[in-house]
Amino acid sequence: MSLLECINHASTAITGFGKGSGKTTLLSYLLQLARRSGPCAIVTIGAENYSAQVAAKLPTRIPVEAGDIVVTSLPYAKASGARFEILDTVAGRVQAGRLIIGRALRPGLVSLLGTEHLSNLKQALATIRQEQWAQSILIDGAVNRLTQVCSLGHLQFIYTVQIDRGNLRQVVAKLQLLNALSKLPVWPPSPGSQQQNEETEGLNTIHLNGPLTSSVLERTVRSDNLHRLQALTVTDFSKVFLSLKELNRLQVSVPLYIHVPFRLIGIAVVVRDLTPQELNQALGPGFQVPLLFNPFQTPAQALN
Amino acid sequence: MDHFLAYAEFASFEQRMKPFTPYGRDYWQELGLITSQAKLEELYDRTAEALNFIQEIGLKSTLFSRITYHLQRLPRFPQAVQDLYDEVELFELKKFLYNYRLLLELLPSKLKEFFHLEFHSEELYSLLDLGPQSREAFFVVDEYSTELAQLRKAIRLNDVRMTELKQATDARLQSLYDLSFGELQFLVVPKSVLGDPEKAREDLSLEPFDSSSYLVRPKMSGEMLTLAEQRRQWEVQERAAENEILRDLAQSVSRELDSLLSYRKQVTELDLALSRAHLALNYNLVRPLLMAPAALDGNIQIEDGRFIPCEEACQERGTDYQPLKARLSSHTTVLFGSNMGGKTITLKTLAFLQLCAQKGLYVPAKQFRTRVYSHLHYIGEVNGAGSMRQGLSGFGFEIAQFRQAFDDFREPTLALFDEFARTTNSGEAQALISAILRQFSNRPQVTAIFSTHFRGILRLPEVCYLRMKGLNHQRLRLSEASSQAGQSDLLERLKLIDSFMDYVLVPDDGLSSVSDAIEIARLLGVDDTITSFAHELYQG
Repeated sequence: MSLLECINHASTAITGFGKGSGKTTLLSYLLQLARRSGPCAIVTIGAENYSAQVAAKLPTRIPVEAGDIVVTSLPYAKASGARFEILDTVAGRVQAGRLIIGRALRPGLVSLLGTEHLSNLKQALATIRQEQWAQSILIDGAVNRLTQVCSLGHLQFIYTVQIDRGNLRQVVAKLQLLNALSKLPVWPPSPGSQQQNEETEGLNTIHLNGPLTSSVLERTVRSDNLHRLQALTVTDFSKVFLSLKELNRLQVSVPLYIHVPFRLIGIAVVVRDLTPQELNQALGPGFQVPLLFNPFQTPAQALN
Repeated sequence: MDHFLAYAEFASFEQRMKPFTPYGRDYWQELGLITSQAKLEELYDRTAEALNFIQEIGLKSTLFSRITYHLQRLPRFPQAVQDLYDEVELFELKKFLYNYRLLLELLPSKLKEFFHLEFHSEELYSLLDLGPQSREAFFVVDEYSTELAQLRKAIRLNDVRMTELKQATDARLQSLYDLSFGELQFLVVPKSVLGDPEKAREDLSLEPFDSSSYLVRPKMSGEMLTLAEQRRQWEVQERAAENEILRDLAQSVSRELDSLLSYRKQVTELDLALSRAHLALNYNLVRPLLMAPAALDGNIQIEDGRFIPCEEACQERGTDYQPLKARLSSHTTVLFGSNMGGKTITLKTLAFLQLCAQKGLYVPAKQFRTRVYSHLHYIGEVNGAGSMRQGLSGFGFEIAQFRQAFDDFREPTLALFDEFARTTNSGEAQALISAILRQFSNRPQVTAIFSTHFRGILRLPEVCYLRMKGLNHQRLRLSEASSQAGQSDLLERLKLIDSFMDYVLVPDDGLSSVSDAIEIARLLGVDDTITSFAHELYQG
């Protein structure tokens, strides 16, 4: 399945490992792709950057075309070179004024702004879907907002990452962990499956509401009943704060489940002084998440 | 009042009343106790009208769905006259007018007349809906001013020219370097592709990417720079022109604001009436009968009153629920009864019905005849009242509640006492309750009901004494002879007690004994040797 087919009719969160991972660039690129099959909405989580952006007078801006749907504040919409018709408002007020769902009427650059209250953002996404204003939704999901992004539900993810020889080992470890997390089974196991038959009978299950860290693992799980435990569950993948080694060791003893499926459709990788073959080799044969190499490299290694 | 609400377990039911509009929700959230009989009758009348309408068209009809669809889409909008309304505020006003207008088209004339629903703001709506914009959306369209239209046309032409120039640049770069930018703003290009970087700088801006590649962007030509600068200047002028239009629109809105607020007020009444009617249909509620305030001799009557939290708990448990029938012959009542005999549920049912009635709702009963009270008080234990107690003992807390309520007893008040003073010694408790009874018997404005185990309290002619009928011992013995009830679990034991308990109020003459406690202990599984000996001791 092509990337376009993956993001079409879906809500996709684009997230990266920290600043400078190429998230905004990829977002703009995916927006261009998504438009080919119909109107696209683009939203972001949170409004914490507002003060910094105002101070710098240089908010991050995304190029929009006529027909694109955005969630932003009225002042940002007015300051944009594009013009927006207001389709709806988003409940609550942020420092930068009222939030709107707007439809671009001509091309221009616009800064996105989200809301601190997830329920309001959830409502905005539901409205965009219900009213069929957009065929695809792209969500700028900063890594420090991952838990909130996950709680929006029904999302798929694309990670962005920049790799060179200096950070290769660390990034590979992170990617391998992501690969392992993307394979975690969903709780409860689907009816009729072998796992389901085993697990529903098993009473010895721990459901963790909070994060699964090394110390939590030590305290809650290992302390007395790991050998008797038949399943361990966490809300979603963002709650797992274990190293790959710890995760693998845990799964040898007890299956770990997630309640919200983690649909990782790809990792957009920008490599510097490194060939794709070298990276593939470093990741090893068990790595199954599709890698999208250097979308802006020429000759074009098509993302589409 | 908080204790009364908690005692009646009213919160979860209150939340089931779901107005469709934000103004309806605001009203419902802020609503306290309604103490005006005229206001309540007005609300009941509106509910009746809404109920008739819904029953006529059907709760599941397309028409009702369309009506609620438009109600749900009515947004909040500014309530004050302003010099300038921003685009969001104008959007809200337009969306309100659009949905309000369509809503009125769906309603029959009779209902519109009843709720005084009118629409005379065609002119304002047309003004906000100018040009080719979406029906519910808002945008300062070109049609508002020639100046704005000209500026936007200039921007459009500018964009067209810019696109042409970009395409020409792209074609040139394609022929020179075999680079195709298309919609991309930059490319990562192997150094070898560019040849001499100094020469490439004439057409491209270069940044190092890695040891073998550059990050390249097409350079803007002089004409492109001029166009970009020109566009920026026109955008500034465009914003100024838009603000001028917003100021003009603000004048039109301000002139019409009183009408808009009146629409909102009337549509809120309709919304609330439909929501109350919806609730009434879902829970089989009926209109309460309010006695005239002057009829102080009139007393509460309940025909098949249902305490919905208990009714639902019974459904969940799979036990039968017995609705309450009660006729209080005096404004002061004492209610005796055995443990688990239904005294508390009786008081809670009354509290629940009274709250429904004084919140303007219909009530879960076949008939509920009551008065309108200025105050509702509950005096007794409150679940989870730890923080409210402020270090007082159970008895101290009740006394503090009573003391706080005392000043209200000069005005129409419903006061419910559930096993008042049960935690102190019975002699003093009986004396205290008797003194309060005597006090209330001279205050016809207060309807007071005491549930108690204390059989020795004062018998006064003005007071009505009732008791819960309790266990049907004869039926119980017959049943036990043919079953193994003694071996069942707690839920089964509760079901058993429920099935042999008559939750019925009967007059209490003070002579018959009410002694189900030992039997109930036995039914709940206490060892037979204990309950038999207790029974022997009790019989003397």
